[in-house]
Amino acid sequence: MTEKMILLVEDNPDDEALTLRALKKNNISNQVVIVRDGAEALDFLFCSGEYAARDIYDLPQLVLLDLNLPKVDGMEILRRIRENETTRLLPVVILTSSKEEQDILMGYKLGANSYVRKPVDFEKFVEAVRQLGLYWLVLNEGPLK
Amino acid sequence: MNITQRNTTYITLGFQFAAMLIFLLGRIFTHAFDDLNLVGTGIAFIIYGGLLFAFWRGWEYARHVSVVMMTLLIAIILPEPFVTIYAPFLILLGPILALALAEPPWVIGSAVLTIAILLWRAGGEGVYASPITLIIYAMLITGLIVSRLIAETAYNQVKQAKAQIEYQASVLNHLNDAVIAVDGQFHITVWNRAAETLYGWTADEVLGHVSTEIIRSSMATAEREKVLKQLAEFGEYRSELIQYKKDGTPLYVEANTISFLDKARKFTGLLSVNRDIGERKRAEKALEHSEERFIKAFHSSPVAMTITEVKAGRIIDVNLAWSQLFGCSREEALDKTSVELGVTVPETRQKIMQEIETKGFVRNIETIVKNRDGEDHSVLLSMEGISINDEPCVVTTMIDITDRKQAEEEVLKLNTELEQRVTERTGQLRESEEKFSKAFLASPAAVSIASLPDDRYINVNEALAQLTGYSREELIGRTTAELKLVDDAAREKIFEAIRKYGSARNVEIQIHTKSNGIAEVLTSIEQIDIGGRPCTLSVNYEITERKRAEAEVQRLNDDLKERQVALSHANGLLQTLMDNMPDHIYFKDRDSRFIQNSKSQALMMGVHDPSEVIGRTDFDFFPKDHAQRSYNEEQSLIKSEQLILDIEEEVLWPDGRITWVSTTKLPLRNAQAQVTGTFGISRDITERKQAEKDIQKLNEDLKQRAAQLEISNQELESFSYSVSHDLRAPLRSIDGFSHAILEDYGEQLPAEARSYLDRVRNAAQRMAELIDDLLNLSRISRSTLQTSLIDLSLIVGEITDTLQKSYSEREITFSLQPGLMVEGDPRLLKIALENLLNNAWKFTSKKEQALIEFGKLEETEEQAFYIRDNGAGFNMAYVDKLFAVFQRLHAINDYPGTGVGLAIVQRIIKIHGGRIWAEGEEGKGATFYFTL
Repeated sequence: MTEKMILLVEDNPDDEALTLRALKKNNISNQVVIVRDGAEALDFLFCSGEYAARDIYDLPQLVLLDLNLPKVDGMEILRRIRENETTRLLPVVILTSSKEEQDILMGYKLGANSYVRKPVDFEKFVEAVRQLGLYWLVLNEGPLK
Repeated sequence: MNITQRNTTYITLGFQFAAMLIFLLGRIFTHAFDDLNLVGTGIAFIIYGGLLFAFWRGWEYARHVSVVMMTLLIAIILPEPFVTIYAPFLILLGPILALALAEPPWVIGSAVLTIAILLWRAGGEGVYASPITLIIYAMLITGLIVSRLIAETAYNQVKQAKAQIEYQASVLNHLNDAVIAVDGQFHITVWNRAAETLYGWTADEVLGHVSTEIIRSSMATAEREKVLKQLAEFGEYRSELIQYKKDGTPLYVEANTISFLDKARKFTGLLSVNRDIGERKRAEKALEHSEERFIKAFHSSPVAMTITEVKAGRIIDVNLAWSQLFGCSREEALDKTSVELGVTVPETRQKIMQEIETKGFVRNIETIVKNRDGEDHSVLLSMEGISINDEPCVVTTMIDITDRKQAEEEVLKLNTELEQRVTERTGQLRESEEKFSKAFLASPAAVSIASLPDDRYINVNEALAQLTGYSREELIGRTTAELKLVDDAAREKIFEAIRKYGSARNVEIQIHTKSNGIAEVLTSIEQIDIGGRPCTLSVNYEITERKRAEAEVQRLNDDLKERQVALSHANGLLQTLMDNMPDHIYFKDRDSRFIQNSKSQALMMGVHDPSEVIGRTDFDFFPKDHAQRSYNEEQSLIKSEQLILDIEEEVLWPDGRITWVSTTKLPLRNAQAQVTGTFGISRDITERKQAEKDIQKLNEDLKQRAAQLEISNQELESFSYSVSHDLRAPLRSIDGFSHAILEDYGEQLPAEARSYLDRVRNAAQRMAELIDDLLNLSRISRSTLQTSLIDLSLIVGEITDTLQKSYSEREITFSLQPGLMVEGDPRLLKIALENLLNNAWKFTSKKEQALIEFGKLEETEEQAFYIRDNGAGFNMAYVDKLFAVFQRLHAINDYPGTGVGLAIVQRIIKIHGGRIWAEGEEGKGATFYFTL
């Protein structure tokens, strides 16, 4: 794995397709790893289950995290990321439909780096993804090299 | 030890200390420190030794010993050759100490010792071998001794003189006469204790003051000058004069004054011995007075008096009455004898003189004297021997009884006749009288005989005396009116009866006793005849006690009646209470048997008449356990006064009813505060209990509902949550993929198809907005108020600023009333105001001159705010729909919106407890009012 991998945690295939489309439209060519439920996301990050052979130190550049997920929900994944010494500094952006205050507060409390609501208008969504990519993949100097 | 001695002792110790200091300094300057310890020890030795002797033998002894020790120490410790080096020190110290302190034996002793030591030390040769040194030293010592002896002699002389003075002072002070001395300037120099007592001035107050300022006297200045002159001439003067004490009291003083003159016969002082002679003066005065009185009495006495000297029988004085009796003037009578005057019958004179010689006095002897005209007079003669100027004399008094004598003789004659008659009659009467008299006197009834009509007591018995408090002697001979024994009215009543019927029987009268008391008496009076005179015999029984007892009985009866009335009144009240009180009242005896019950309770117990319950117990009416509990309570109340206060209990009544009662039981006491039973009050509280139960049930219902509400709120929350998540996801897909089709295959589609896809996308986005607004509304409904004092005008200003910045191309006039303060939730109110202002903004978008106002209504009672615009307005016919969710009064193409905004505003105002309403007219604008 060369550089700047993005981990997309998303259970809805429509949203997955639309997100990939938005990334593509913004010419973001980084590798995107997609996991479709919370348990799989944890397996990937901590190299267990079907990802047991993975190098635990090969961490993604950015995690796009949905909240409503089968098996283990987004908040739990975020907590586990921040608890673990290896993944503690990983940039995590919550990308979700909810704009419930309690979700936003809880997200930041658990250490989310950003909270972005998916707009219904696809053009706005493309714009949001563009800005996320520009910021987290280009402008921002991450802690992990 | 006096002050001088004490000072001397201090000086001694001081010198010793100073000497040691000088000695020490000398050693320091001669660099001889080697035996400093010895010096220190010496100082301490002397000081402590001195003190020790002082305590042991007294200061007198201590200072003597100190001097000797001092001298010895110096002699022993001084280094050699010390006479040459320390001679000044010795010469200074020795004499002073010796002169000031010690008595000769000590000085001599110490000197001899010192010489001995010197000689002993001189054995080690050195300067002491020189005879000259020894001579000088011996001279010094001799000088000391001599000076000491001189000082001692002088001291003894002074001591003697002082003793003399003290002795004189002591003598002076023990004199009873005031001794006062003054000097040439009349300053007082001596004032003894008697002077202090006499004049009231203490010696301290007067010594040194001028005597005339201290002792004021009645002597005039001129007179004083004369006295001084006489003093100068004769050397002494004696006078009696009045002087004044310190407090101004006058004093009769006899003053014996002697003057002191110097050789030039110049006056140098006075010594005066003054004695208080007030007592003597008074006695003299008294004597003068009594003499005067005697002379007056003598001359003005109506009794003839003479004073005769015994030896020659010459008359010394006679009084006026004597002159009148004998027809002989005083001048004629003086210095003559009675025989010479011819006023005495010689044989009587003989007889009288014999008597006076044997007895020394004569009392009331009847005798005959002759006056100068030769008439005989019968006189009562008394004589008394007295002494006048040591001469035995006789005072004679004579009372002329000539007239009386004649009268007496006539009476005597009549009496003799009468007596004869009486004797005869008496013999007859005596027997019966004796009987009567005994009965009369000994009768326990008060019996009296009184004359008529004046009611004068002729005789009374002892019982009457006791009754009236007067003695028999006081009563007999006086009338009842004089004695005020009986009221006039009572007396009149009795006498009337006597006049009519000859007697009065058992009349109750009041007798006023001597001690102002009143005796109630039952009197019976009979008219009798004694010696032909009408008299009354009255017999009196005292009935005071009986009357008093009757009155007491009457009073007790009245009292009892009053109490009965009061009691029956109280009973009436109690009965009324017992009959009408809704509460159950019951009285029980010590065995918990009913004594009395209220009607209300009797009825509940199934008895119509409360008296049927009397004597029965709770066991007759109530279930056993209830009756037993009640019985136990009452017994413990009686025994230990365990009060039952407001105990709530359920009661099963005989008719099967069950009620709740609140019971209070207290001990029942009699007048002596003994517990005779119990009484209780039970109030029916069934309704209250029912109400409590209802309230409890309501509370439980309410809790249930609250719990349900909580559950439904939670459900609503999770519903909203999933709406926000799950309803939006499909919309995103619809919009996203429609967009993908348009983008990827748009060119292959006809224009109509593209337009349809646009509509699909619009619809999806609008639905997303609706969902968001609905979520907002539900969130506001669920939120709780967090109020504070806020400035509405400020919030409105912020919102309009933001609006103006985001749409700067529009021309709008804002009119804001500033400083409108209100209590409310700032976050919610901001949302409400945003919605209202956004509406106003939106609906004025087609006006060229838009106007938006914010303010407060003036003339309303409650605070009512408004936001007014001159925009599209609305038809008042649809005003009801204005605040309903999703209700719109304008086409969405004209003015976009979801129709939720006003519903949110209304919800917020309602949460604040306010209300909102609107006025509008199509095309002219709308006003939204709200209160909080």
